[in-house]
Parts: sequence; C-alpha cells; structure tokens
Amino acid sequence: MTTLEGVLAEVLDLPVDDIGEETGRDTTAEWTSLAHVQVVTAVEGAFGVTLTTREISEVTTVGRLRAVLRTKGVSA
Amino acid sequence: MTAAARWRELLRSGRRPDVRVRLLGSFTMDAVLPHLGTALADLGVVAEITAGPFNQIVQECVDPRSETAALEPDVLVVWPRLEEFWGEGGLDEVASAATMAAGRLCARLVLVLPATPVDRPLGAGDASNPTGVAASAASARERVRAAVCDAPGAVLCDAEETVRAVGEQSAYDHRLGVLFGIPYTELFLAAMGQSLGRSVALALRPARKVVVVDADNTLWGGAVGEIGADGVDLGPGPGEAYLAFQDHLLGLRANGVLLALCSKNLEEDVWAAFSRREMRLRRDHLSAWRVGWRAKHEAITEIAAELGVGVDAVVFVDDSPAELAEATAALPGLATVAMPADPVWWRAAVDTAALDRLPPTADDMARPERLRQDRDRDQLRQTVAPEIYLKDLEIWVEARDPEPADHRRLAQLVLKTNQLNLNGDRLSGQRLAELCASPDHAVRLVTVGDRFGDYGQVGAYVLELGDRTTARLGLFLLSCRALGRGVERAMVADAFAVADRHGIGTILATVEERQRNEPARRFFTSLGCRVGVESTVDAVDAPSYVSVRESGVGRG
Repeated sequence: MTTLEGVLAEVLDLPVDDIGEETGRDTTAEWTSLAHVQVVTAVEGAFGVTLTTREISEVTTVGRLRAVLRTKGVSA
Repeated sequence: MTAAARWRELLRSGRRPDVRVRLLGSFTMDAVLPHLGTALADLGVVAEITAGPFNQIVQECVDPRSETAALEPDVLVVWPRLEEFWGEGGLDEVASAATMAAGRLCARLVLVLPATPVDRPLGAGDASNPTGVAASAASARERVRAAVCDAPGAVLCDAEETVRAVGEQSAYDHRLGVLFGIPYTELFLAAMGQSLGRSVALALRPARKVVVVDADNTLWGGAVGEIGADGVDLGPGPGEAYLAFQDHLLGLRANGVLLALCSKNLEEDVWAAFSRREMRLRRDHLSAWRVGWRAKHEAITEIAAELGVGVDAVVFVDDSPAELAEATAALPGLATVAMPADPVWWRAAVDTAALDRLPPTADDMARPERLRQDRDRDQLRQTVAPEIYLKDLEIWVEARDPEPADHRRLAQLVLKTNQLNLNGDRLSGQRLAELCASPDHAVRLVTVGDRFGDYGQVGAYVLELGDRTTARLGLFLLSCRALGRGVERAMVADAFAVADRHGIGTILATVEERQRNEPARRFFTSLGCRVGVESTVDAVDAPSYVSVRESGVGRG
C-alpha cells in the first residue's frame, strides 16, 4: 500500500524511517522549494487528490500534509 | 521513477559529462533540468546542466561577467515565455540577446519558441481580432523564428507544439506558477524535456544520412516471396498506409536523405513488386540495395560502405523485432525504427530523434543526384588506367570568400568533416560568421566538380593573418567525397596565393591527432609538417590534372 512516508522518502531521497510527523521544510535540508513542488505533485498522483493553492502553501510538514489528505477522505 | 529521482541517480553514477548545458528562462528553470537531463541521457548525450537565475535571461546574456558567461556552456538553452515578454519587441529583444550571447560564448543556441498565452480578454472574440492575443503571439513568434533561423548553428524548439500535444488543460498549473514560478505541470515539463533534448541533440550532432528499409511488411503488406508481386497489399484498405509511408520516405529523399533497400528475398520478386503501378517508391529512388539471404547487419554494413558513410549515419526500418535486434546487437551505432504490425501507426514510429534534421542546405538536397554521378565515375575508373582516370575526370576547383548565405554550409562542414580535418575544432556557426567578417582572417569555401557533375561545396579553410609576416591555418577541411583527387593540394596552393596577396610567404599549421583524421595527418606530413607540432607548410602548386577556376579573388 502507498504510504505518505513512502512517497516522501522517494521524493526527498531519504530513508523511510527518517520521515516523521515533524519532518518539514524548516527541519529538512532536502525539502527545498523545488522538492516541495515534487512532493505535492507526487502526493496528488499517489492518492488521487487535488490540493488548492492555499493548501499547497500550507502543507510544509508531514503532519500538515496528512491532515489535509484526511479532509479529502484519504487516510495515508 | 520520477525524472528527478532518475536524474539524481545519473548524477551519482559518476558519469563524465561531455557537454555543458546552461538553461535560462523567464520561470524557474530548475524544474526543467531533470526532464532535460534524463531525455538527453536517453539520447546518449551525457550533459552537465545548470539553471540560471529566475527571469534574468537578458541580464545573463548581455553581461560578459555573468554566471552564464563564466560557465562557458557548449549549449545555451533559452526559454522566454510570452507572458513575461508581452508587448512590442519584447520577445525580439530576448532572441537577439540570446543569439549574441551564444555567438560570444561559442555556444550552440537552442531557443524555445514560446507558446501562445492562454489569457484572452475578448474570449471567443480574440480569433476575430487582428491585434488580439493569438494574432500578436503568432506574429512575435514568426519574427523570432525568422531572425533565429538566420543565425548559424541556432536551433528552435516550439513550446506551442508541446502544448498542443499534451493539451492546454494538462499543460498549465497556475497554482505552482503563483507559488513557485513554475507555471507548468510535470506532464508538460516531461514532454518539453523530450522535445528540448531532441533540439539539443540536433544542435550538437550531424543528422543521419541514410535510411535503409526492409521490403516485406515495411514497404508493402505481406511477403512477396509467398504471395507474389500481385498479391502484396498496397491498398485500397490497410495497405494504403504503406503508400503513405513511401511518400514520407520520398520526402526524406527530397531533403537529401539517401534511401537504400535491405530485404531477404529473391531479387526478381522484389523488383517485380517495385514495378507495381501503385508503388510511389521506385527502384531509381534507391541509392543502394542488398537483396539476399545474409544477415541484415552484414548487408547494412555493406550499404553504408558503398554510400561512403559510417553505420552511425544509418537508420534501419524493419517490421521484424528479431531483425532489428540482430542488427542493433551487431552494429551499436545503428539507429532503428520498428514498422508497427498495424502499418497505419507508422507516423509515431518515425517521430524519433534519429530522423530529426535541420532544414537542408542546397548541398544536402543534391546528395541523391551526386550519388548517381558517382556510379558514372566508377564506371570510368573501371575502364581506364589509374593515371588516366584522374585526368579524364576533368576536375575543377574554385575557392572563394563565403557569402553570408554560405555560413550554414560552412558550419555543416565543420561539424561533419572527420577525415581530412586539420585539428577537429568544431567551431560554432556564430564563431565562423565572426571569422568571415574579421579583417585578420581569410576564410575560403571550396567548390569542386568534374565532368560528371558538381561535388558541391566540399572544402574550407581559415587562414589567420596574424602579424602579417606568417599566416596560420586555423581550419582545413575537405569532405571525404572529394578525397584522393588532388583537391587538398589545390586548396593549399590557394592558401599560399591568398597569403601572398597580404605579403605573407610562410604558412604554419598544427595537424592534430584525432580519431578519424589519418588522411589529414598523412597529407600534412607530406607537406613537411609534424603531427602535434606547429610546423611550416611546404608551398605547392595545384596538380596539373586539376583546373583552378579563378572567380574567387575577393577580400582575401
């Protein structure tokens, strides 16, 4: 099954175990603004959802991404 | 795997880049980088790619101390968007800055012809407005196309084509545009990566010269050996696709591609099918053929040798995956096109980088006819003694200063000539144009012919006049089609005549060792030069059997 951690691990090129709820743009060097675009594109593709512009600008941690996915009926 | 992940792996693989590419654009070009990098890798180009700062195209192009200038790129990719360069002359200014920068940096330019913006104040009425968005974009695009096509060595890549291919709805991502300056979807960027990759390859490599086609189920439906010439399918119905494919082949031929046939059949069966009234491709369109039962890689190797090209200049079209695999395994430089089992899909099959080519020069277009003349020459050679042959050819040589219209041919000679090539320097088209205009250099373009026809513009050299006491050969090239006919001696004699007009009696040259330039080393050694060392070239006269035409006393 596709997990949010799995998607992020591939995009950010990090081990899955290094990805936690607090992993985010402020704490992870790999999570650059270009990587953020790739994170959003990969998450949308993997879970079949579309984020709004505001949501894209706000999902700066794994926890926030998971919360936004939950509002769209996805538990990842 | 995403393009970004693949690109990351390629960078880690320790590969040694052979070309440096710089991306400049009016949006975040970092987003384009992995797509172009992976597309180039698939085309066999190992590139080091960097993206310039956001929306700084003109600044990066005009400032000689810019980051881009310091990188000394081999290829400059410039992608302006009409959204950022809307208004009178905006796009023209970018194109002109890019062309000048590429010239100054001796880089090849790949300029993206931007797509028409999507915003239409008049909505459906825009189509009726001669000064509307669509009309203004079209005229800006065409002005830039015309200007950049004239710049030697520059290649255009049309973003509009890619928008059309993926669809406008799937091309733009306005969310990412607002937040990150990346107004496009991954889907569109991936497609543009492919398209840009092909354009970059087109700017770097000579086009393939020969298309070798199989016969059964490639030129017609069915096996002629089994169902006979009258039985093979040429339509009406599914077989019509083969006729359309034949028309496509004739279009290639009209642009200078040599067509050849390679078929496992009895020759009489094949020619019987060729004489079918419906056939568009005729036997006399073929520059070579091998019909028989040997392995196809052997036949292709022979065809290439007969046509005087390397196998890396050949594209092989066959419907059989086994034949294609056999040929590719034996001949790694060969490119292949698989004719699909349902022939109506041939258009997708021929949409491949191996068949990409720039608009042909007059010289390219004359190639199939030149080959026919070569056959006549061969007949003469077989009937007379070698010492009489050269005299009987009535060879003539004409050297002259190139006109601007000749610059593309000059650039092409620099890119394509391997054997009689003094130093293998692949000067860019822009650099060549500068040399042609320079008072400190004499550039000469050499046309050769004989009683059977023209060889075309086959030779060129550059003489650096330097301190006006000695001259140096900067370039010396002669296409292999004119080798062994005393033309190179006539060119050296011309170089001495040009030097003499400047009061210079000594010409120096450094003949370098390159992979395939043994003929150049042999020739210059015969004129007293040493390989890898700057040496004085012996003065020579043109051979007695070569007549030198004197129309070319120009600025030199």
